[in-house]
Amino acid sequence: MKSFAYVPATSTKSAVALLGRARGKARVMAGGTDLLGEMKDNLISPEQIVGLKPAADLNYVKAEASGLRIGALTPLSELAEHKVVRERYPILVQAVEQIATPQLRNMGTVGGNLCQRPRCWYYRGASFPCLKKGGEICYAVNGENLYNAILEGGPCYIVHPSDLASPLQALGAKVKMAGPKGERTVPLEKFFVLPRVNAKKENILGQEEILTEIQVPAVPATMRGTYVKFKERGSWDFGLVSAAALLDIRDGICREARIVLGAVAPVPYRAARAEEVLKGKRVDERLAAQVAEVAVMAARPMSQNAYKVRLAQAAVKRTVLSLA
Amino acid sequence: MAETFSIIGKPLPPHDGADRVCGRAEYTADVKLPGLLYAKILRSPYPHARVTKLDTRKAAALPGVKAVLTFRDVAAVPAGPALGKQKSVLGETVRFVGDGVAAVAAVRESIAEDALRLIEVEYERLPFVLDPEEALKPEAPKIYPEGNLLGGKPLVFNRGDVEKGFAEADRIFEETYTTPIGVGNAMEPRATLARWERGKLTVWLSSQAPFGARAYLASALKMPENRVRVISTYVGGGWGTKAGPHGDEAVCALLAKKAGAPVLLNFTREEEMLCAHIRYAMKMTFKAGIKRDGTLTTLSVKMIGNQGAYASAFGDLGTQATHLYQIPNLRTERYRVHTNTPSAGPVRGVGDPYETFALEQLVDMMAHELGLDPLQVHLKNIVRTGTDIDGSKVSSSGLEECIRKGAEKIRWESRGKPGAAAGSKKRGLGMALTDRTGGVGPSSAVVKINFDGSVNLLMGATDIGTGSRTSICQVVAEVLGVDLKDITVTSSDTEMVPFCPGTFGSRVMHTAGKAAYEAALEARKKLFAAAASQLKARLEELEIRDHVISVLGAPDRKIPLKEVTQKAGVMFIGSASTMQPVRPQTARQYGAQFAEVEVDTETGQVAVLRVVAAHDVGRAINPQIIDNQIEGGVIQGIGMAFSERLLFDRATGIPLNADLLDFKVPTMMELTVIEPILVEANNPLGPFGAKGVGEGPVQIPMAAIANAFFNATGRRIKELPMTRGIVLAAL
Ligand SMILES: Cc1cc2nc3c(=O)[nH]c(=O)nc-3n(C[C@H](O)[C@H](O)[C@H](O)COP(=O)(O)OP(=O)(O)OC[C@H]3O[C@@H](n4cnc5c(N)ncnc54)[C@H](O)[C@@H]3O)c2cc1C
Ligand code: SF4
Repeated sequence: MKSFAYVPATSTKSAVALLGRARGKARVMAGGTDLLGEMKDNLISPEQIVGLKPAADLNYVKAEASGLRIGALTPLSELAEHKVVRERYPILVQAVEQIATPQLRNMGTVGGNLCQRPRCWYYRGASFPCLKKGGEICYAVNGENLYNAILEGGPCYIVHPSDLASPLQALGAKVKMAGPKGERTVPLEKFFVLPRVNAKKENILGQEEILTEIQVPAVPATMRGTYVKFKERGSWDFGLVSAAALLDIRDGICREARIVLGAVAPVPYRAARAEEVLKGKRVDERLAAQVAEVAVMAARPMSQNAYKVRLAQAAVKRTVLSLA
Repeated sequence: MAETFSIIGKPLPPHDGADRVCGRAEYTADVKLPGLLYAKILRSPYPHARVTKLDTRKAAALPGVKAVLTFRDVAAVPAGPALGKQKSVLGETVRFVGDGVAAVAAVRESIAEDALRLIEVEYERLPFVLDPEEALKPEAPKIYPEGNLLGGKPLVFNRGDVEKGFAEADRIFEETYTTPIGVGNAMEPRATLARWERGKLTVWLSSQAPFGARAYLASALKMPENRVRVISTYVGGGWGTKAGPHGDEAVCALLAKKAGAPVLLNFTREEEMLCAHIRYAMKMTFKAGIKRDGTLTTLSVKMIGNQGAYASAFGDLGTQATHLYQIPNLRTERYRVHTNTPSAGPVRGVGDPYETFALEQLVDMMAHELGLDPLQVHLKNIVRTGTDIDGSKVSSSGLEECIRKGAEKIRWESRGKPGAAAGSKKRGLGMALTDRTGGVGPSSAVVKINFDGSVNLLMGATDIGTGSRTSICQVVAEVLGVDLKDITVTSSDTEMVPFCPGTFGSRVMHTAGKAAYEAALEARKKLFAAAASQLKARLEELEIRDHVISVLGAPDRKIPLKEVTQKAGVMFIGSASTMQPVRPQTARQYGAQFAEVEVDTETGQVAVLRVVAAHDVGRAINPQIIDNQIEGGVIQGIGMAFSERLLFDRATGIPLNADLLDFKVPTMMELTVIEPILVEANNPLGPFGAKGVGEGPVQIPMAAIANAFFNATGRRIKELPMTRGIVLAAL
């Protein structure tokens, strides 16, 4: 790792000011669990690190009638321990508890989790100058792509690594950002960008902008949600495939559905057509299987990851049936 | 031999447990010396290349840099014993990504890293090959001028007449199994600290074999062995990769010499995974002949192994084909093929975990095809005590007892028909057997009985976490009639303790334990001689228990140990250098494991619900330590079954997952119910009947799980690891 200067930001304002002054040579650090890894692996060597941890105005969970407001610097473990989150948003608790390990959840933050960089091993290997790093080719296309995207890929085929992103998107969350030009708030699905828009980035954050808050609308009492994640070992593992489902089922009939898949596409993947198939119908095995099929109908697996299609189907079927 | 033991067979807690847990145990990287420098190695980014330019001037000029070495400085220094082509410690030609080119020592690790970036190096890239079968083709890039097949021809072993065996068979089966490059991944990465004082070299080394390292350093640096001291007091696991020297020991010593200051070389996890040695990937074709009643008539085996860039020790030598069953007609053909991947060498179990995966699935499959119970087919064919294998007799085998006890515990008879279970969650039972050496070769020990009756044991063997510090003391304590706490053990310092080749090949209890046993007997003999005259008894009449020497059958005639030692005025010292027969057929360890799995046919998730692991250990000196060995082996086996494998990018030869996130070792969550059964078949060669048990446990889980998977689903998986993609494709 190259040496760097560390500057603490004491507030959102000071963070934005510090970033502005650094003119693109600084990176913000929340828990550092991803950023420091990137630096140690020689993927990035920023001259300056703007530390967000001291910014007290970024660490909070506020439960209001309109919903939740989560400060970007809230540690993952604190989100999962919050009383109201546990009561009203169990889907978030399920997702957080599947992330990495307890130590990483203590250090890692909600904002950091949404802004973390992809785990494609070609991206993480300093010797591969791939598209995401500004290079010419995607090594995954003809390489070891068993963990890469089956949907929405190209020209880069990462999957978004965040376990929080898909349940948050299913909940209809918005994110708030602050930058030199002030604040803006966008729905989470507008926050993430596909590689065909920009292969080098995963979201719309500008260089001098930070994520400040995640807003989660209140969930109607009749909507219930669940998150499943398939991985290769019981802990300390990114998902092979995950699914977040939020369904409103009354008298056996599905009135409202939101299904978002994780680890299948460069962004959380909303299975919109599957939702349509569900709505207004009686939820049973057969319907769940049909929904599962429709959810990944558009899949274009790469040479080694066709198995993910079946996993995604299983994930959708399970979440739907478990809520029936 | 006493029938009832005082200390043997007790699950005593490890001697050094508190020191390890509380952080008092001093590992190599903990040694703090004034003026210590830190070393880093410049490594090749290419799988095959020749250095065309190397300029270290800028690096050497960086403030804080104290020494720089390049391949030019060490051209005459070998990287350790070689079976094939000799590797030099740093090379002008590099043969895998990670091969060393130059090294730097500086006052801080970060400065050494900066210095590496300042070294100007240019490479001429050469064509490379990663796959052993590709490497065997005539048009393949040559890693060595004489070709890629190590030794120029396969290693062939013949017994009987294979063709006759096929002619006698009712059925013939052939299957091919493939297994990946594995990594031992000791918790503590390799570390070397070298210090010179008046021409004498002291090296603290995270090593399984300090004496081997001493011999290597002495010969590489052209010094007499007594001027080299290697200390490996605490070692955080080895798995074989710390058994042999890999050349980094000499690099560190030469940097220290050049800098005139002590130098510490700490491997990163990535270096630990790539730059020592890795587990041999294999492609194994097994062809067997069998009679309708399940009698094996013949076996023909062809194995193609990935030897990697260099060969310092064979990593493929398995004994399942030759030693597990009584097969009259046998042929094995091993191809060890160089490729541009890390060097392969012995990792826990060496070739046997993979060979067991192949052979034991084949036997299971044949039994099924013949409509027989695999358990009966196993029993029909296994070697037993006294079986003659290629000219020497098995000294003891408790394998049948392992099979019967394990089958009873798992309720083998409750097993259903393959794939018959309804629903998407299918359960199944599977079993597999294994054989392995119980420990061979020399070792030595010294036992000193102090005047106060306390004891010092000096032994060459290193406790790398296997518990030998405790279990071998139990052997000595039993012989001398003292408590464990009365014994202090000093080990693995080549200047303080007598010779032992090292801790590998399941050998420590059978060899070092035997030496300690003999040394304790000799010390006791001297003690008894003095006591006999004091008690006016004959030497043979004496026994010692609880620090008191008494006359057999006359318990009133007794004398405390302390009184004898003090009256005698001379110290009673016993020493022994022993040699356990190298004939590999003699003291073998055996095991039978039974796995129960539940396969989720929708997700391909295979849950291992239970593993019953019955192992013939000869005699359980410390059952707790053996249980730990078995549990650790099973967990490691679960990792090898489902997730562990090192992957390389085919286009560039660069490793993709040389880290602990992407190379998926099992976590606590993979832990399952493991039920060890210790079978004590009493091995006449071992101390109190013991034999080695270090490797057997890791050899079986993959095969037992694969067989259980078949029983659950009716499908076979012939490839490791059984990832989701492979499992789902099989279902
Ligand atoms: C071994 C390991 C296993 C993991 N497993 C999982 C897993 O299973 N599931 C999962 O979802 N995640 C997993 N992660 C990722 C982990 O959750 C993230 O590293 C963590 O959430 C990041 O939070 P952080 O606060 O440490 O972010 P940092 O490391 O500080 O930052 C991450 C990135 O986001 C940027 N950033 C951080 N905060 C802000 C902000 N407020 N505004 C703008 N940019 C910001 C940083 O500049 C940096 O680029 C794993 C990580 C590791 C190391
Ligand atoms: S998928 Fe993206 S990150 Fe991975 S190699 Fe291709 S371009 Fe790079």
